[in-house]
Amino acid sequence: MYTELELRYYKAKTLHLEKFGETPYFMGIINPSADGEEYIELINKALETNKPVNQLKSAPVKMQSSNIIF
Amino acid sequence: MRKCINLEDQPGFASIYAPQMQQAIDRGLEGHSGKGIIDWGYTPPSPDTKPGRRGKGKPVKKLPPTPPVDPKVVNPVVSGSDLHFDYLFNTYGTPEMRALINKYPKVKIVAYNGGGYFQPGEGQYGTVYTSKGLDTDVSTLFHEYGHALDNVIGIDVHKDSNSMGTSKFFINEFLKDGADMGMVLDDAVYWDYIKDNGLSFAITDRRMFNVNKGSERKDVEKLMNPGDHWRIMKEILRVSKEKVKKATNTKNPDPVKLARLKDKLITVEKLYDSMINRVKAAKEIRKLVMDSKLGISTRDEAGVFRQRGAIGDILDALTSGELYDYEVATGENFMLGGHGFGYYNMRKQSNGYPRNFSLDGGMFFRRAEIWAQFFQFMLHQDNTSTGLMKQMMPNTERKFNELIKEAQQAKLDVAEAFKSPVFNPNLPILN
Repeated sequence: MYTELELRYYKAKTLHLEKFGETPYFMGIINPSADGEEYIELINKALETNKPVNQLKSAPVKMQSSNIIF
Repeated sequence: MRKCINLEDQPGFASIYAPQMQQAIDRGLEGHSGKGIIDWGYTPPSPDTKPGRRGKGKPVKKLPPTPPVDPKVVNPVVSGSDLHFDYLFNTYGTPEMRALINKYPKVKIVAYNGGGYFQPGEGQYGTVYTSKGLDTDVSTLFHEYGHALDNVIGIDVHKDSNSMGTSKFFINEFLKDGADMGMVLDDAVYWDYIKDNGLSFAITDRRMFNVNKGSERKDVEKLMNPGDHWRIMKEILRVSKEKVKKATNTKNPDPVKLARLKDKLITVEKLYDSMINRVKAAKEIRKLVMDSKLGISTRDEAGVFRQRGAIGDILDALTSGELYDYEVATGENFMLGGHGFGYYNMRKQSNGYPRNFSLDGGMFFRRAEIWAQFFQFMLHQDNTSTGLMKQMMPNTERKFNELIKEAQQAKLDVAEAFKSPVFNPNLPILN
């Protein structure tokens, strides 16, 4: 059912959930079957640096506005 | 009086194993300057602002110089922005949709590799922010320009002063298709139950969920974290069953009360089953998509591989984010794409705050995103996704085509543009 990339992404996502108690959050369109590599890279970095992935919190203020459309 | 002691002289000091403390001591001895100067208490400088998020997509090797527009290209787009974007429209777009883009005032396109978005309030018709030099360029540009034309056609054809004024005309169609697909459900019983009974239970191991009787949907949703929608559904089912069991097991059951509780349980069970069936339907759609050309397409500049996520996003919009919510609560994964928590509803986003404060707010993003995904599919020369959409959402596809045709045939009141406050009639006309 899943592509190899997705399986690796889900594994990384589970590790993130186990470590931080929350799933990683990517802003805009989430597309794991296509962009999984980037997500895995970001999750691995988060696990190393001990900072959960939450792009909404770290985005520039203007991108957090509800007036913009992704 | 403070007494100073030498730690190293204390018994057992040598046997203390504290790697973090050792590391801190070593760093302190090394000094933040890196020159071996001990500078205890010095706070290292840090940037004033947090860096922006990283964009999606991998860089393509090196962008070749953008070639001039091929004279053989039919209806070439000249956007007035970066030539790279014209190149993408003219290489991967269909001539019919290029003609549509050319017909309307061009929206400013800004290269931005922190993720694509459309800002309707920036400039007269809004501004598109999209990637450049990544393998996501085509899909992001086509999607975001879909938002832009939703806005422009709304202003120029439908005379709508609010943003995104075209997609509002196909809401009924996508809701009907969504219901036929099992994605859009009548969940009145869910919110009525909470309003009539309130809720107070341990929603997770760490958290209680408390809502008073009489709470409206918007009051409840703003308290909901990702995953809570499904957890509450399970709790409503459990309590409804419990109530029937309790009423049945009394010495002299009240037949009227019992019948009422059983009726309620039936409606709750029906909704629960619909939600389970919705997950099954989403998995089948996933299979359909992954078995098509979209599933096997590789990362290339044409960006077809990203359209599977766009179809997943349509399901996310149709279900107001409830499939993603189910994923979080159950740990099952099946969604191909989406827009994240709180984008299509009034629930909390991942920063802990809601984005929308009304059902209309959620619907605004649902219609805008479904429109942009349909536009993206129609603009692209590869018509696999359009074919899938025709199969899955025939009414929406038909209405979308009607709206596009209307926009293609509309007579534009050019004089309107000159009424714009931006236009200054006192300025000399330069030839």
